[in-house]
Amino acid sequence: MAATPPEKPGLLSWLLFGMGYGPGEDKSPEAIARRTGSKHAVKCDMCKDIDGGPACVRACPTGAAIRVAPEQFINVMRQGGR
Amino acid sequence: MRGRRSRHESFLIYARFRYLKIACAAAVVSIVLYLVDSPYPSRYGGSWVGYTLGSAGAFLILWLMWFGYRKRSYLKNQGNLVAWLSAHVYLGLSLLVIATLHTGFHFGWNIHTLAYGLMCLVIASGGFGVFSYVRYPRLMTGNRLGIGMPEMLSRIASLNDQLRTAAMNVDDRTARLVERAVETTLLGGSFWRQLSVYYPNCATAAALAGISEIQANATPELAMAMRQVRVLLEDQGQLLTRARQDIQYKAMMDIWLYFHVPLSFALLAALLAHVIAVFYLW
Repeated sequence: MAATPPEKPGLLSWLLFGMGYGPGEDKSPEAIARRTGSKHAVKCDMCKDIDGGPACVRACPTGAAIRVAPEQFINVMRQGGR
Repeated sequence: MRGRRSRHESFLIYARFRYLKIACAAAVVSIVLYLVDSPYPSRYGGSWVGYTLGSAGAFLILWLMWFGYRKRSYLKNQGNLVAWLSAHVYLGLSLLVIATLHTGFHFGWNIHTLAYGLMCLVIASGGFGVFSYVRYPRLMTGNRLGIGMPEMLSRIASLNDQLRTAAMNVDDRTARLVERAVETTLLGGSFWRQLSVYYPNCATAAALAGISEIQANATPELAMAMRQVRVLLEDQGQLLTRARQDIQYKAMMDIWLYFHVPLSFALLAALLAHVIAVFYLW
């Protein structure tokens, strides 16, 4: 799990109105989760300590391993079952 | 990974054939270089174009072989492996053009032509690999009808149990046939057997044939009991055919690597001998 990064504001709106995180502020997933209170699954626990996207998808040479969003999952299953 | 891929994309069409285009460009450049240069007495590997093509080919071979290491380093963040495979396939094919032009079409019974021949064999086995990875997964899915190999094996085992139980109600000869089918029916086996799907002495098929013969002149009660055994054996036969077919597809997708990898190491040795022979023993 990683926190959903908040929308980064323009420099001026941060300078003038203090919107969003600015330079020097804690951008770690934990701090963002504290600020926004939401988490969002990006990859499973097996490779959570490895940088980058899901390591299984990156390590699959034939492209058989793919990552899909839940709303796309049903379509993928339907195609596979055909 | 930037830009998440959410649908399957084959390594052949990866990034809209990016590596096919690069490979074609490499081949075209090689051909142009080859045509531009006309050394005396004929085009050969020792002219400046010959050396250029030869060096390019040698580095390409080393880089292509590096794929074996790269694909096993799971933890390194060196981009997508699909991209690597795509490049491996297309640049490997372009090597055929580059190396052929490097030879200047001079062939003979020597270490140089041996290296070239080995390279062609490696590329041919890789080509078969690409073919099998395009063809067999689809056939495999069609053949499995939604159940995987572990499930097939457990169904075969449970049919075996049912057959043993059913065989208690029939005559000795039938029971022996069933026992033999349960005990000695083969699945898989040697590589040739897996590839050919040829099981001439399949005990299940033999039991089915034997039972038909016995059933023809059996008493009505016995015939009833035998019908149950027969149905079970027929189910078992169909399941075995499906499992053996699955094993064949898997074997077809594995076999080429047993040639591709050892031959590529043989090529590496021959390439080294070729380079040493050219530079030191000219």
